[in-house]
Amino acid sequence: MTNGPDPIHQFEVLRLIDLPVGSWDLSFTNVSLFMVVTVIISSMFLLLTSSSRGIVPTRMQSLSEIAYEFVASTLRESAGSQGIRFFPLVFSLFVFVLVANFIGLFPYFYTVTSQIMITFSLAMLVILTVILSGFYKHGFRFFRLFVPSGVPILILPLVTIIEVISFLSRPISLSLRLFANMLAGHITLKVFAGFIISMVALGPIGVGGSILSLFMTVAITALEFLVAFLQAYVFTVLTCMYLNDAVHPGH
Amino acid sequence: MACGKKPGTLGYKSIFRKGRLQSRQLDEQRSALEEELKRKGVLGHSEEEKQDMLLSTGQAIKLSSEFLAAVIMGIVLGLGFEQVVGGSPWGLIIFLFLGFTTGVLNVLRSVGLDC
Repeated sequence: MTNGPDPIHQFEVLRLIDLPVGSWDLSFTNVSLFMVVTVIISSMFLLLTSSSRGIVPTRMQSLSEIAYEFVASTLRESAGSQGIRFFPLVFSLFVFVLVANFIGLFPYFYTVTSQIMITFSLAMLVILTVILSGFYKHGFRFFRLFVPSGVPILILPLVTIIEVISFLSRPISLSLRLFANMLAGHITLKVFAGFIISMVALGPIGVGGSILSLFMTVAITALEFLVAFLQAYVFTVLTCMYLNDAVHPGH
Repeated sequence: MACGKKPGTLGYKSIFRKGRLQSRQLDEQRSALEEELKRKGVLGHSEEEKQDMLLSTGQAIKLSSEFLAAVIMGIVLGLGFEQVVGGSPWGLIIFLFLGFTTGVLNVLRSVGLDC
């Protein structure tokens, strides 16, 4: 398929404003544009809906209250009441990922979370918060996270190395998961949407196939909405679980 | 499915003892069996199956990301070790194996096996 629609084309990064600073390339790209749009939309929504502060909430106000309660209860369940200090971070991450995923579902809009550098930066933010606050709170007792109890002293060094690698691999798996889900979903969507056009050329049988892939595209779009929410939720839950290690190190 | 109920609870024996089967009874039996199978997850709606197939992609990505991340971290640590201490290629070999082990551990943990 040389002249068909290219499913990768949607992930192309384009420079909108060139900004070379020294040897760095700080250009304002379409990815940056959609990150700004995400931040503006999410903060405007939360500000506007909660500004009335009605005791009896309006529909929109209760939507943002539900989001608040949802993240707060998730955090409290997995990191305890001490973990609620991290609420601003976790809530911002949840809202950012959720809104970015949803914005990406609009046609011709860019999916910010399908760029691995973005998801990796978010994951590094989480892990650095865990490490720094763990050290700040517990000092060197934070290292007990890597030394599981009840292991024979002979294989303890090996287990400790494996635990350290497991800890260090967390940001990679956290970012890979979000990135791969969004990338795979959007490529699948584009491929099936491309089938609609390219199968018509095959004649009467192709028309039937293209109708079938049209239904498939609709189904996948619905599923992508689910995935968009699910991945934001998974990212939040894992963030909470990792923050739990910072609050309560030691198994 | 080995832990299921004995077929006797569905009442085959009592019906067969009576001799002739009424079609109404047969229908009841069939719907009871269908319900039972559906409850145990042997039979599924085709719609649900399709949904499951698409959703299980998420599960696949989850497990593979857990495994891949550990192997990548092993490679990074191995190459870093060689940069600092030297002794190429042994750092990469050892840490790759350690990363593989960690990946297996990560996958086992993420499917809920406690270890």
